Amino acid sequence: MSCLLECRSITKKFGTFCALSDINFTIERGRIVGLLGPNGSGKSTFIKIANGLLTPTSGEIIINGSSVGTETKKMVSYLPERTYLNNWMKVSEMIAYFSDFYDDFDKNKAYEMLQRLGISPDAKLKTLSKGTKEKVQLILVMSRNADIYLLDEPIGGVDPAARDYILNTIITNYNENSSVIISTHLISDIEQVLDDVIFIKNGHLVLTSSVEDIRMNQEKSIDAYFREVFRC
Amino acid sequence: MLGKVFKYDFKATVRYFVPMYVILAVLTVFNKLFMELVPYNNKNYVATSFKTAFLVFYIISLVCVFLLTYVFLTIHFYKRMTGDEAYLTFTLPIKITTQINAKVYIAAFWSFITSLVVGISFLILAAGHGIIDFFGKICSLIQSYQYSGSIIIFIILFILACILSMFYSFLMIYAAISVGHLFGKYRIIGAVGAYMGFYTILQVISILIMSVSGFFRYSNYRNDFDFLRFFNGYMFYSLVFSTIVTVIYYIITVYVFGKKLNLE
Amino acid sequence: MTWNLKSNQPIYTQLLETIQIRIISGFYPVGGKLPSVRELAAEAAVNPNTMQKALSELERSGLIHSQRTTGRFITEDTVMIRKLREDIAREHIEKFFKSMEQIGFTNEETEELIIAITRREEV
Repeated sequence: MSCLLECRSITKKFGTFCALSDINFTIERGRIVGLLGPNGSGKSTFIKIANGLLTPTSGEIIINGSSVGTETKKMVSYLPERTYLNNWMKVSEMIAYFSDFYDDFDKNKAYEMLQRLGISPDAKLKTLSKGTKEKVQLILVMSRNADIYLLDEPIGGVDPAARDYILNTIITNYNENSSVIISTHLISDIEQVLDDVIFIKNGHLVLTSSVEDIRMNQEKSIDAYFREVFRC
Repeated sequence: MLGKVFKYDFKATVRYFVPMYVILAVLTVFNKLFMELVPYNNKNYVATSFKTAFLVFYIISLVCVFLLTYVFLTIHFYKRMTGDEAYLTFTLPIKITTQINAKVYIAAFWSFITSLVVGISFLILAAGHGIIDFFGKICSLIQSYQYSGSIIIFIILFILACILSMFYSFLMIYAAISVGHLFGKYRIIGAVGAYMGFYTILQVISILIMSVSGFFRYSNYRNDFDFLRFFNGYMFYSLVFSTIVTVIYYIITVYVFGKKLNLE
Repeated sequence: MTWNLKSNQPIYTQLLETIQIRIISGFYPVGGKLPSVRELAAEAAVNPNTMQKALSELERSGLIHSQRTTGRFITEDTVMIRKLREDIAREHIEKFFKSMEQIGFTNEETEELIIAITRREEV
């Protein structure tokens, strides 16, 4: 089965509010996919379901042939929007933690990235600035050799230089066997890096397409096309 | 895997427990000093007041140590399973049962250590003041009891009850937090409500069972009555009942965090 | 020549053109080794699959060829490169004449202006 992630009729309701409605799509290996939509459209909800942090009201997500569960968590590397690291730990302890629980974690790669960014492994996480903590999280996520990387708003509150670094890491980390799903509303910064895009609005799937198709057929950037589709 | 999870639970909690034990140790030493250096009938008002003050602090701290053990472990569970840290907890490739088992074991572990530390502290204070005599008197009292077999069973049941209570009290808290989690935004109120609910329901059931089984019937208590044997029977069934309830709490916790997880 | 990518055209064609220009200008020397797909993609800050597509197209046209384990190399065929350079130059010139037409110059007027400008630069 070449299809890495299959989203089958996912619906998620919170009480009467419907966050996701009958979402269906598949993602192949070796693709960098943008999950694009306005705030509150259901992007984060989808990513949390794929991670097993939320249970869908109906439908299922199949990753590499298995339903979301302990097995799929081994294959998925997740970067949440918020920082979730144990504040009292040191950076090096966090790396040991990831090494302990993930067989595919590459310690050397992590230390290399830390060094390049000038972050001391002995620093306690609570002494780091928000931006630095986010970089540490990114390093932890990208140092895994996972099948799927789920990045929830990775370039949101980050300065432009860091943004470039993050995109650069995503590109150089690329391999034909894994896929990256990036959820964001900052499209112009990221569209060059994407293979495909999925547009979501109000919990509904509006469009799936490759980036090149849109640029060729619409003669617009994804950013411009997005504004058109989601005009208020 | 369980070992690894336990290791990190330990690392996270040890930073709270060790300082607490150290403070207790310091208070124990101070109290001991005052107890030995300031004789009972000392007319020195200042010294006696200090001694009394420290004694009061000591007793308060004993109570605090037990309370804080509950508080630390409850907060640890809450943060790990429903706070920001839950994002880490639930994305690790670890079974829910393993995660919860580790939380149960860490609670039992610290309960045990706390009891041990408090016991040692108490013994230190009581040492030299007739402890050996005290135990001697207890032993002869035990030997003079008519039905010695019942005593042994009583002791065994008592130890089992103590061990069970470590698991029981925390699983009740964990189950309450789980039920609270189902209430989304109102998870804390939900948890407190669930805890009170569990407590009330169990009290009602216990009283019902005790009434029905004749615990309150005076006619049962005769003069040559082997009270302990009766009491042991009651303890045994109470243990069985508590074990079942503990397992139910465990199942509730595993079910909620396994199938009904909804992290904000 | 930097990777100046416009956002409203397919990226892969723009990558193709930029690499062609780098080859014909000698930035990538004849017969030399091309950086890996990943390096190029990172440099251009684009998706590696898109870069791969551009390189495959260049391979098809014969401008580059790949050795399985060592990587991709520019062709040693200087004739092909010269022809490509000429083709692209023609394209640029035709575009230039069209744009001069738009501001009202005939082709002859344009030629005269070019000669005048180049002479003045020599003096």
